[in-house]
Amino acid sequence: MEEGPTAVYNRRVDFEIGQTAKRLFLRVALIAVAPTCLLMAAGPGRLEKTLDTTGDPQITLSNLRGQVAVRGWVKNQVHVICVTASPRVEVDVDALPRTGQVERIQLATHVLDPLVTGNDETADCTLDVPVGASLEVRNRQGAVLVEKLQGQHAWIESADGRISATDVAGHLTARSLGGDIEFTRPTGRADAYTITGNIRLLDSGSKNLRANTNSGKITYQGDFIPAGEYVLSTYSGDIEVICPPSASFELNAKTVKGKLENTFSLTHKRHSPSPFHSANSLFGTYNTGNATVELTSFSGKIRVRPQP
Amino acid sequence: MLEHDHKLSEAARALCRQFDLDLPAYLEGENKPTVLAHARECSYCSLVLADLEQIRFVSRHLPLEEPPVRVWANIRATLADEGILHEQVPAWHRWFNRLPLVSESVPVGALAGLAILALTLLNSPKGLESPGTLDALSGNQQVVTAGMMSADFDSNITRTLKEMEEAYVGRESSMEPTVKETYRRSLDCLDANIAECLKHCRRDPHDALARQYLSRAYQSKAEVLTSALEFDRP
Repeated sequence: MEEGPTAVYNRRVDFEIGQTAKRLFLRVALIAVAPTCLLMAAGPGRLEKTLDTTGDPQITLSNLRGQVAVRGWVKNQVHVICVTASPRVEVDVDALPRTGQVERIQLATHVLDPLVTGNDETADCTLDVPVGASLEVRNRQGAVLVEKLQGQHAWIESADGRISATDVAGHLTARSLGGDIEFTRPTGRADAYTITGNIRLLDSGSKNLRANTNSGKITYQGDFIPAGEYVLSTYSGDIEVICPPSASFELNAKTVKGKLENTFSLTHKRHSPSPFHSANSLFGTYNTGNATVELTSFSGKIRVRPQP
Repeated sequence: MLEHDHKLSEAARALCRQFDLDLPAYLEGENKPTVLAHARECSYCSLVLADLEQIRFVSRHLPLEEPPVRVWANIRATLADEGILHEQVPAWHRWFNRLPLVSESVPVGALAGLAILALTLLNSPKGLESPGTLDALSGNQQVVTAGMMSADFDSNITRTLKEMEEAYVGRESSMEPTVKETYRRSLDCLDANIAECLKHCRRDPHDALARQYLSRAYQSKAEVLTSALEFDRP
């Protein structure tokens, strides 16, 4: 049976209404979704800032994930470049005082969207700071590199990132759970502490150096400063000390159940007990014994040998 | 006309600069009538003053946040290095003096417990001769229970470490998988160290170095747990 003109007209109207509703729905959906899509499609964010500072500003950086590099320079300025993986991660820069030369700078990354996780949290930060700056860096995940600083202190903390500090003159502290730590030419007091990471101490000019790791290895390479105090300790990791034949130190090495290996010819110092060597401990003086070297392990091997 | 405007703006800028200079003293309570006078005339400086007054008002009602313990440790170490600070008061006195600085009851308890533990481990090897005591001191969560604690040791030690572990386990699920993995690996490593030290101390309770390692492992565990509990704090 054929449709009458009224029925055809009604069907046509229904079709038009349906099409209009569809178009309306699409428009509303587009308006609602577009900003989110744009935000998600947006590339990495970038912050670049230069601040005039005093010669010894205090700089604090708190980062969730990414690489952090801080280098000292001769200018009384802090130059910050932070690149974030996602525009939903923001880097806040807080400088005090608000006018004149800045004395304190606080940089902190935070996520604007709680759904941002993993690599999207990444912010890679590079800072050029006055050589006299004091530094506190907390980088949850990722490496931290610090170079050429003479400020009062440099405190670096990371959960699993590698910490590397070169030519730092102030009180240097590095703490990590699983990351390796490397100090090159530290000249101030230096403390390295990690649970499972390795520690490398190269050409130290520090008079007060302490390093501790549980399962990682400690390598000390270089001379000792007269009257310096060096305390290296591991649980199961090995300790290796490689110093020049001209070095002068008093050695006190102890282990609970590890092995001791020493190729220096130790003597006893005047007015002190004679050199003592047992399976678990080794005391003695090499040359005039200017520096004090204390090495301990629970089950790790302790090895002291001259540089070839 | 332009020159006049320029002079005016230069004069206004000078007043703003003077306002900036006087503002800190005014906010500290000093009598600086020029600050208020300028704020009445300059809308920008008026807003700055209003903002600062608002911040001052709100901050008066904020709870005091204690800085992390390491800040005090650093200050102390620096002062000692410079010869400004001389340790003269007895250690126990310093300890109790520091307690109010720490706001977290769990880390305080853990540190107090660890201090007792360290003293006990270092000074009384006989305390380790009882196998029950050694088991009770093990870092493994399954082993650390208040019920297993020997009378020789205050149950605060195990309780606080247990509380810390429980708090950590509660937070662990919300942690980033890689961060969680790092913390877990460190804690497992320390638990293994503790278990090995305890075994050794049971065999040779007079080994002072082993006792030092045991004490250090407990201290490290408390520090790792404290760090885990602090790390993701907003």
